[in-house]
Amino acid sequence: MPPTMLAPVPTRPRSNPFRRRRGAAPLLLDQTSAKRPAESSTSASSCFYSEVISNSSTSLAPYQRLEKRHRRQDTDAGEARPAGSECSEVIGGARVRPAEVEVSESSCPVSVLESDLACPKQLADDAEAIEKSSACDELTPSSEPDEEEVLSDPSHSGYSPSPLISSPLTEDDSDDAPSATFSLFLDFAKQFVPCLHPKPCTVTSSTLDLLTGRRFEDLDDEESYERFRRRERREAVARDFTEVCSSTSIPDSYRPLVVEQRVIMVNWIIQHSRLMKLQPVTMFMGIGLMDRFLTQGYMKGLRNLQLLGIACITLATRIEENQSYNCVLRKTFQVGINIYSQSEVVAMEWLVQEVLNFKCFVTTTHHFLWFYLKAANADDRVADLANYLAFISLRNHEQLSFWPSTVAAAVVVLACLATNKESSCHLVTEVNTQVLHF
Amino acid sequence: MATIQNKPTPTAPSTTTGGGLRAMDLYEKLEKVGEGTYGKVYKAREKATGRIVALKKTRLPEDDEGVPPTALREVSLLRMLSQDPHVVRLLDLKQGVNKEGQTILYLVFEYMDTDLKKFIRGYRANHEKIPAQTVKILMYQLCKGVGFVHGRGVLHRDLKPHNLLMDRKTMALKIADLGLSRAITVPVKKYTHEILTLWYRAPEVLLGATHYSTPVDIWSVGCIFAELVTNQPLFPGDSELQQLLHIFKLLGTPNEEMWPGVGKLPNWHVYPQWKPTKLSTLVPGLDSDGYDLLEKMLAYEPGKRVSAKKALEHPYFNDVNKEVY
Repeated sequence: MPPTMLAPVPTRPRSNPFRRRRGAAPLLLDQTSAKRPAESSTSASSCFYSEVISNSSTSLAPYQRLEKRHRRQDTDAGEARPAGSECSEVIGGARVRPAEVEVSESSCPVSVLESDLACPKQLADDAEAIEKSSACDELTPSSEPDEEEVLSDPSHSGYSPSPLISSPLTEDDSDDAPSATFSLFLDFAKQFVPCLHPKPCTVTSSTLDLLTGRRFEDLDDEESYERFRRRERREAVARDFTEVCSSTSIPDSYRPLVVEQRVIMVNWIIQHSRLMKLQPVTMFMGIGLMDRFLTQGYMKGLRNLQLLGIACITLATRIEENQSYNCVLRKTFQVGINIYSQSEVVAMEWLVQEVLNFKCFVTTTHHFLWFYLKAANADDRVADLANYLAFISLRNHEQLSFWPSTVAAAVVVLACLATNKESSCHLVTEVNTQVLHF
Repeated sequence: MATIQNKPTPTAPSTTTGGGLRAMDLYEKLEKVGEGTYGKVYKAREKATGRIVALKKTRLPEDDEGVPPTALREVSLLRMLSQDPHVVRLLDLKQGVNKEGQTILYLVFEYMDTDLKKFIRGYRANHEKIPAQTVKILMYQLCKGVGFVHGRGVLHRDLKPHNLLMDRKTMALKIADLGLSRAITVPVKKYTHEILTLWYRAPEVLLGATHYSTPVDIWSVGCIFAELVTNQPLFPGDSELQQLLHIFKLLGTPNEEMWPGVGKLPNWHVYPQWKPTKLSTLVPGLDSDGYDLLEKMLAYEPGKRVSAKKALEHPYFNDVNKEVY
């Protein structure tokens, strides 16, 4: 299996390097630097800040392109959007990956070759990821005792798997044979391993008392801001999923794969959102759903991790975008050299809804940016830079240890400092009422 | 492999899918009682306990399209709203397949024996008016429920008598059917003209505004208020243009003086210049406090419309026993 999967890789970059680079060129640098956080936590931290510093002058360029798209989107917001490009439906079983790839290539060569989502760098990185995935698969038998220990742990607390996960389908009534998508859903559910959670700390009333007092001139803005802060504190406690998973018996060799695939899928979601002209709030929500899922457990296998990212953005699209997005629009999705069918995406969507207990609204950095930019009386330069920094922060999982409102305040303060607007910083920190260290 | 013993938490209903018992193994359908935004609603009995519930059924038209946005939003929003006495309670979720192998999502709600539409129609059929104190009690509960929903950052966007469930014995009123609701994000977010029932649609929506917010629900509350008093819908238009003309004929055609910015809304153009009619003529049967509150709910300028929270403090509700509702 692995040799077959790896065989196509060397030929792709040579055959169409220029065509692939055309659309993806502006983001290649980001992708290259984004890979480094996976190496080590120290390296990740230093790389993140060095990226911000080194790109501070030129980094506006790619964001301005995004900004133009967003502005155009605002103009078109009232109009129905055309459906995204569709590849022909994959023939044969979804699980036969080589056949799937071959059929897809032959049936829609033009769209595959012209896809912005495929690029030489990503292909090479995916090859490495596949190798790691194979290694993880080999380690699975030896990790069996750990899983048993997890399942039998009497101190189990936190997320309780639904009866579905603990009691898989046993009686197969022929009259009620489930659909292919539903069968995939059951299969994915078996591959989800929930994390054990320490008891989350309760948000004290004194914390909520910090929300008192006027901060905005407009009373409606004041109420909106307080509402988001309350919702933020009512939701899951801010935590980095890598810290959560490290406290359980997830195999040590598996953790880098999750971190790496998260970065890959964050980048994929950003590109997908740009291509589909989705609103920023939708993109942030999709990534927020994925991060919240990863604090509940992890999926075995690279394909499942990539499917997770796709499912989270399709869910966010249907919740947050306006009505022309009633369903999963595309028959196939492509991440690097991997092709995923609509059935697989929908099945993973169901699992995401299950694991999140159908709580699909997440508070994100984007919800707070507007308020802090207003408090800072930000001009366009500050706003553009703050939005760009918020995009960059999505790739770094360490920011998950902080409340979204804190991350939003931090990027606005950074943007003010970078554009010599120090006098605005205290306005942001007063609103956020938290001490920020730089 | 050892099976985990699940301890179901009282506050969070557990979700079961095809692997567990199917919805129809747990509930016995008694009768179909209506249709929500996206599916049929059945009265049913829970076999284990005998409890009567309402089952809202969503059949996915194409299996590969995923849960439709209306169901996705309603469930997520109800989860966000947690528990409030004036919002219908979502007891459970059942996801499974039917006999044709199609995927079904059942929402299990507490059962309420009637809705405001049937309640009003009953009085109309008898040529009677709803007692003034009953109107007040129902309006108080409606404002309280809307205040809670708005306070949690949710726009209902389809408030109408049919979506307000009632218990005849206790006169309890609950907001239902959040299939067209949206979570409020930042104040500048745009929404499209999704299906809002025409008679209860706010003028800013009819005029094409996409930056609308909680005041659209308050307009609906005002229309319901008037309908409770007279048994007749206040603005029964049959097209968007007719709806606007209906409103302008009765409340007067708006201008820049009373509604700054109205001329810039997308669907604005020159309309016949009608003079406003007194509310006491349009809605006979209220006292002066009632007319004052109704007028504040039907203010043209969205920013001037009373909020649900402020409405609860209005003198009209002074003699309501607020401990009971």
